[in-house]
Amino acid sequence: MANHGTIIRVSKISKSFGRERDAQIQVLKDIDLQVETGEFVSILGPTGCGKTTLLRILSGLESPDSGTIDIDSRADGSPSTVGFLFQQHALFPWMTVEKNILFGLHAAGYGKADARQRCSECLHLVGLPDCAHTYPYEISGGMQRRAALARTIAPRPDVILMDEPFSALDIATARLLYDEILDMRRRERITGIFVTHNIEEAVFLASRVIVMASSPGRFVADAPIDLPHPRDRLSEPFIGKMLQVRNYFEKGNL
Amino acid sequence: MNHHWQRHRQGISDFLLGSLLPIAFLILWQWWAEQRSQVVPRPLDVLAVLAHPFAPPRHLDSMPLAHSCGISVLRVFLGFTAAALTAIPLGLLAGRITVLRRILIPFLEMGRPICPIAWLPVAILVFGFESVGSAVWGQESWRHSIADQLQFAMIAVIWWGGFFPIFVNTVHGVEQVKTLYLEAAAMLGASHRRIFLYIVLPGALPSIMTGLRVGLGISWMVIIAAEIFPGARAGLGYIITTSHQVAEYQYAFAAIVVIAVIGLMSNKFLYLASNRISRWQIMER
Repeated sequence: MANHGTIIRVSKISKSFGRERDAQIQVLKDIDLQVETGEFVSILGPTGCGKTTLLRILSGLESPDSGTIDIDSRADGSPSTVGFLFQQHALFPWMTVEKNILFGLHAAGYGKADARQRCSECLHLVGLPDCAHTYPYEISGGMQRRAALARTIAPRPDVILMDEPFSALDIATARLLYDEILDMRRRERITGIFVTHNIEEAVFLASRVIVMASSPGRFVADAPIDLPHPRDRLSEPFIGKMLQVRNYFEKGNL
Repeated sequence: MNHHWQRHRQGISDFLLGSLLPIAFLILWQWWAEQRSQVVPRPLDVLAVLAHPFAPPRHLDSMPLAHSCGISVLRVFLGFTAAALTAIPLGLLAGRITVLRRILIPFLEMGRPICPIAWLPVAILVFGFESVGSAVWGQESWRHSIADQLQFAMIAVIWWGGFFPIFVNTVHGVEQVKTLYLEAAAMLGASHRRIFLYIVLPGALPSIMTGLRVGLGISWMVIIAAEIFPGARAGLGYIITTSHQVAEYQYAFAAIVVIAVIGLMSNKFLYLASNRISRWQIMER
């Protein structure tokens, strides 16, 4: 993956939860992270290691106790935008799929005609061209995911953060979505960070896998995945990478 | 086709079962009226009143039933609209702004258990016997008999009765909007205004509709009681009291039937409207 410079710089982030001083739980400790433009980073860790908290801090939904986050501005000086794909689909249930996507586009300043065009473009991209006028509760879980993905990428965010977006899906549906994510990455060229506890998923999608350990949440390994796309899950190099990552995972989480 | 027929049959059996008690009630009523024929009107006497809604009531210093009904409905309409127009915006603000909520709720909680009718003397002290008619036409207001009967004191009492359920349900509705939706909207870069209009408002709407239904029901009860008080010269409640005074009970019974029908219709209307609005909430469960 060609590097165009660092876009995200995170240094020494710590975060604790709990009110009482002595009953505080440290969720994140001294996290440092740099992400290059165009990279697709997977943060892999067991449940409860603080990976979701880290993602929420990166998105600005939560603030760290200490440490700094810098996200570089665009070439023209305007601030970079960050899209977030939640663990649940988070589609607004009172709006049709199309209205959901248009909501984000209008919020991002798209005009009526542009927004419409971009909306149908994104619905095609995620394979839901016929679902524009359906409500979220009328479509399946996998389709809801795709609609949520379309809503997140529609305003062309510079960075997309994904919080276990595939964990609630069956394998077949999840794999279809992997392909769509890779396809979208190829076309839209965005930087991505996604959190997962699934090693195969991480190795299949990411250009780099960061392994976390819990209590307190910290990074224990940082492995580049330099396999070409499309990746073959049964090929020797792929399985080799998976074993390597699993090794880091097990060592860090004894 | 078969399915359609089944639904049809379901509808018929619902109707038949639902009719059982009203029919039994009518038979009992007829029997009771036969026993005490001097005072208790028969169902047919009441039907006769209902059949001539524009006829001036016999022995009664009251407008015809239709006018009285119109006046009651207008009073409720004005009071209820005022309640909705104040309670919804205030509830939306209180739901979003914690400080406002903490200032308002204790005060309002104190007022809530007080029956709205208890405020009628206070309302009369504040508004006197001024009405929409006297405010617009002054001394000439007697020429506009309907507007002249829309006393502010009564409207204020209805407003008070309708305000609480609408306010409380609006605050509740706003608080109920999932954090997930607010965060999702914020991550899409939406402004506070956009979040309020497209997320908070529709998210709270099902609860607001519940508040409106409860509020309308209370308004409708309050007005009948308020019309019994001095100062009322018309309205369904007024017909009920005056018909009692001259022992022409068929008018009271007719007024009760009208109250029931209007209450049923308005509730059904709001129920259908709220079902439409809350479809997403029902489907989400």
